[in-house]
Amino acid sequence: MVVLDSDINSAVQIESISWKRSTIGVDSGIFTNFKIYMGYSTLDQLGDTFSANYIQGTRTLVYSNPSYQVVAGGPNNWFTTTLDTPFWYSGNNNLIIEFEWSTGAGSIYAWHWAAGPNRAIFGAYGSDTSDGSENSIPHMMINGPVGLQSETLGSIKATFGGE
Amino acid sequence: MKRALLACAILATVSFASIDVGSDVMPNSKPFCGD
Repeated sequence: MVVLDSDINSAVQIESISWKRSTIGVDSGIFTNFKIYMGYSTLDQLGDTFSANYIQGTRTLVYSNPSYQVVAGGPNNWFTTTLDTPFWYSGNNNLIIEFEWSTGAGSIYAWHWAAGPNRAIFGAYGSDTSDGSENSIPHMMINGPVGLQSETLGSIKATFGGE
Repeated sequence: MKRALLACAILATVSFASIDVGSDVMPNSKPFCGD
């Protein structure tokens, strides 16, 4: 899926993402070879080839679990995946969040919203191209430190001299 | 002659937040589907 910079509206060090379970489906599931990638995109609408949607060189593996048990909880409960590797989103360009898993058991539904045409694509595991697109993406929380990166902005050195 | 050297660093202020993207509109869109 692609999340627009105007939807995020901030720089953020993404440490985890949360979804809100909907009123249907089951409360837990297990997914094999589950991975999450993040990266940047200039596109507001995704094309058919997964890798071509990224700004070259920005696709980053942020979570990997060979057997991921998702415990979503009851209807309307928020559930969270904490990333293995936090992802720094600068606020410039759009954010792609890509999920993949090979097999699984249990279907967990999350609340979605009407985001616009081709905001998500889906396809078979391992496929380079999609089987279709979606106009809706999950209602999410993107969690982490917001604003400027924690870094030294500068230093002030003053020399006072006198006789 | 007296000389003094003052050096200080300014750290950016960072706060933790949850950025809410979207709203509850459709309960039945494509799930994390294992079945």
